[in-house]
Amino acid sequence: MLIKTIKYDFLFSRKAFFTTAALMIGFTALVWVVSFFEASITSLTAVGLVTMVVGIYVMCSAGNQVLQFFSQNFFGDAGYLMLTLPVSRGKLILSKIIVSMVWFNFLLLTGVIALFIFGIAMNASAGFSDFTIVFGTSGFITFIAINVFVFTLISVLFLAVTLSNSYIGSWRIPGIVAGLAVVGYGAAVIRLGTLLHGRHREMIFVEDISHFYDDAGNVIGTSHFHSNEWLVERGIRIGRIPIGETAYFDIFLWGMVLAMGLLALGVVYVLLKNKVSLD
Amino acid sequence: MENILEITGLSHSYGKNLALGNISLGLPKGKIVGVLGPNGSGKTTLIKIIMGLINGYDGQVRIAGEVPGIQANPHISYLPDRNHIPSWLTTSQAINLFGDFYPDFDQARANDMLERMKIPPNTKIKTLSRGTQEKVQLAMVMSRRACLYVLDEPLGAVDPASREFIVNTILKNYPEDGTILLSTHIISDIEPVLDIAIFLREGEIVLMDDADKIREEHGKSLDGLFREVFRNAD
Repeated sequence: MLIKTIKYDFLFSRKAFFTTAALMIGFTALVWVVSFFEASITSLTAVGLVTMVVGIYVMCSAGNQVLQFFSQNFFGDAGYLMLTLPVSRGKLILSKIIVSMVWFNFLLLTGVIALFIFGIAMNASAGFSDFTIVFGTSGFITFIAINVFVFTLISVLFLAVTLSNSYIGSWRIPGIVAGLAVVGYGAAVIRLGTLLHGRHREMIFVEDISHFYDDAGNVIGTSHFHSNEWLVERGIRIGRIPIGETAYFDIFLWGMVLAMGLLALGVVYVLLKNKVSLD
Repeated sequence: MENILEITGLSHSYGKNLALGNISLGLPKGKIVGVLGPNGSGKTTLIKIIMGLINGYDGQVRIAGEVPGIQANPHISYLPDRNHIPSWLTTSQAINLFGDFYPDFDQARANDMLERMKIPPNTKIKTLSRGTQEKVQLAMVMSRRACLYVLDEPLGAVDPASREFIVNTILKNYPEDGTILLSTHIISDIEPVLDIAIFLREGEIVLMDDADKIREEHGKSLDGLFREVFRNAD
C-alpha cells in the first residue's frame, strides 16, 4: 500500500513542483538574456544575483508547495478520500515525507544544474568552483546533511499544519504561522540548552568521566575535545571529511535536528490518529 | 441477524455545542437506511464518526465488528457531501485509483456506468458539471462490493432529473447483502426505496423504525411526517 500511496502522492503533487522548477529555469534564462542588453550586469554580479534568488526561491517555493500538498491532502476535500483509504495514517504520512523530500531534492538539483549552465554561459570566473565551496568537498556527506535539515523542515511544516487544523480550526493561516513560531522557539530553546549543557559538562565533568563516556563509545554526551580525540584515536572517519574540531559538534547538531524532525513527525502521527476532525 | 453497523451510546460535541447525544442503533445486512433530518441535525457528524474522520467521541461504534478507521475502511464504500476525488484526475485515473486501493472495486462496472453517462474515459473531472461530477463519484463508490455503503447527501447538489438517475444507480448496483446508509433532507425522491428510516433532530434520534411501519402507524408518507415533525420543531 505504501508504494501505491507514494505513486498517487507523486501524481497529486507533480504539477506544482514541475511548475516551480520551470519558473526557476525561466528566471535564470531571463537574467542571462537581460545581461546581453545591460552592460552593467557583469558575469559575477549576475551569477551572485541568480544564485541568491534561486536559493531563496527554492526554499520558499518548495516549502510552500510542501505545505499546500500536505494541507490539501489531509485537511482539504481530498482528505475525505485520503483518510478513508485502507491505509494506515503512518503510511500516509511516510508517503508524503518521501515524496516531499524527493521533490525538494529535485528542485535543488534543478537549481544547481540551472546555475551551472548559467555560470558556463556567462563565462563567469565564479562558476563551478563556487558550487564546490557551497556544497563542500564531500558531496555525499553534504547531500545527507542537507537532507537531514530538509527532512526536519518538512516535518515541522507538517506539524504546523496539523496543529493549526487540530486546535485552531478556521484560523488556519495564523495557526500555521503560530505553529512554526512555537516549533522555531522550541528549537531555539533546545539548541541553547544543549550548548549551555555542553559547556557546563565540559567545565564540571573531570576528564575521567569524559573518558568513560569516550570509551563507552557514547559520542553524544562528551565534550567536543574528547569526542574528537576519541574519533581520531580510533581512526574513525565520516566519509572523506577529516576529523576537525567541529566534527563532534556537527554530529551532535545533525542528531538534534534529526531527532526534532522525528519528534515532529511523531506528534503529527498521534494528532492525525487521535485528534484531527475534518470539518 | 448480525448487524453490519452497531452504535451504542454515541455522543459528540463541538465545544459546548452538542452534535450527537447518546445515539444507539443497529443496522442489519441488506437494508437501505435513510438518516433523515434538517441541516445541523447531526447527520454528517454521525457519518464522519462512522468513517473515522472524527475522533474524540463518547460511546462505541463497530462496523463489521471493527472500530472506525483502517480496520473498518475496507468494509465501507463512502460518498462524502463534497468532491473528494481530486478534480484534475481523469475518469480513467479515478477508476485506476479506486482499483489500486480497493480489491473489491469492479472496474468493468465503473466503466459501464461512465459509458451510460456518456462520459469519455479520459475526461478530466474538473471539466464536468457539478451534477456530473457527483454522478462520477457515485459510480466509483457504487462499483465497490462493500458490506456498507455510506452516502452523505447523495441528492444534495443535483437537479430532480439527476436524482432519479442517482437513486436508480444506487438500487441497481448494491449487492443483496450490502447495507446502504444514506443521509438526506430531500425525502420525496428517496422514500420509495427506504427499508428503515431514522429521524434525527438536534443530535438525537426522534424516530427509528421500518419505513412501512412508520407510514402505517402515522397514516402518512415519510415525507409528510418529516415535514410535520420538523415544522413543529421550528
